[in-house]
Amino acid sequence: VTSETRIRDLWADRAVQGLTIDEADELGALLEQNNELDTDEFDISAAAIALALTEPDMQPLPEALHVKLERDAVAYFTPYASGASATSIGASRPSPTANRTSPAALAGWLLAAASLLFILLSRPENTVPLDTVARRGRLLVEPQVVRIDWSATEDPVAAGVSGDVVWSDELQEGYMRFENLTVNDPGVNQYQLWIFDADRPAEHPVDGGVFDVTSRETIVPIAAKIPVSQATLFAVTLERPGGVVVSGREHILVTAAVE
Amino acid sequence: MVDEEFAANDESLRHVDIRDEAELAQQALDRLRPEQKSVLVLSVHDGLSHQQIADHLSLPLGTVKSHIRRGLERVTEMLRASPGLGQVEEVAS
Repeated sequence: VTSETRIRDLWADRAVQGLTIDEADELGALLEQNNELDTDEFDISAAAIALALTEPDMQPLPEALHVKLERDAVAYFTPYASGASATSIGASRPSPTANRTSPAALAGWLLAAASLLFILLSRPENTVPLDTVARRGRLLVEPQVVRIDWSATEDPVAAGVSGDVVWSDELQEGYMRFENLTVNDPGVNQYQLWIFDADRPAEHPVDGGVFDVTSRETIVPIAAKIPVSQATLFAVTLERPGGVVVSGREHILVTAAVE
Repeated sequence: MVDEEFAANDESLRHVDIRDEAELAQQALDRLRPEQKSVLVLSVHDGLSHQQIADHLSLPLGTVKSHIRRGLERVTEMLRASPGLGQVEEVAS
């Protein structure tokens, strides 16, 4: 395997499943040896593919598409297969008639719905970093992930705000999506997320990170300062620049309770 | 203080017209060889690892990897070749 091929293999691996620390180190060393610049073209392509496969105008029957793709794959790979069957592949996906309340079906539906919502809300001037969109999309199909719509409070700043929060206790990863949350001046105030943990007193929620809003629709990665055992409630407050250690809770804007 | 990771991401924001990228990616997918398309969909959309795909399809791991790489190369080429699309726009911080 040439170093050029190996670099491209690592770029492809990074785009679809990420790299281990050793692989990332290897990629860095190979790029340096070959005097080549890093690129995220594959990452962008993979994210575009993920969105394309949940685009409703093009995929009105995504489950049917999957069945067809899996059937095609089995047919193509039959010469290679030693016992593989449509059943073994299909086991990882719900069938067209599968119970939609199953975790796999629900996760797939949530991804499609989230992507549809994102596409519908997209405007030419209203874009979100694609890597964040892709990471959120990938998290949505993980098991044990919750997605909860925000509920706006009566605070004037929260008027018309919607969106959702996606979170995994297991992975300690999550994303907040907001629509119509007021663009803030970081020199005047900033938004701060609080995560209420079942294992901690309600007076001491976990600091989920300080953030700014710069566009009509925003996706913000959650940056919990300490591990969260079992998230029960997410709340966003408006605080002074830099955030606070303990919120006075004068401006609670939106909340999302885990059921 | 603004979260450092968030600030770092904010400084390197690269925006794309996501909808157009998705539409073009769909067209590109349709032009791929069936095996490349199938493996890419199982990987990107279903989130299966290379090893899981190899196990499901009874394929050598290296074959799965090469299908994914070549599929991504083809999609990237087609995204890059489309005027006005596939372009990544640097946004001034």
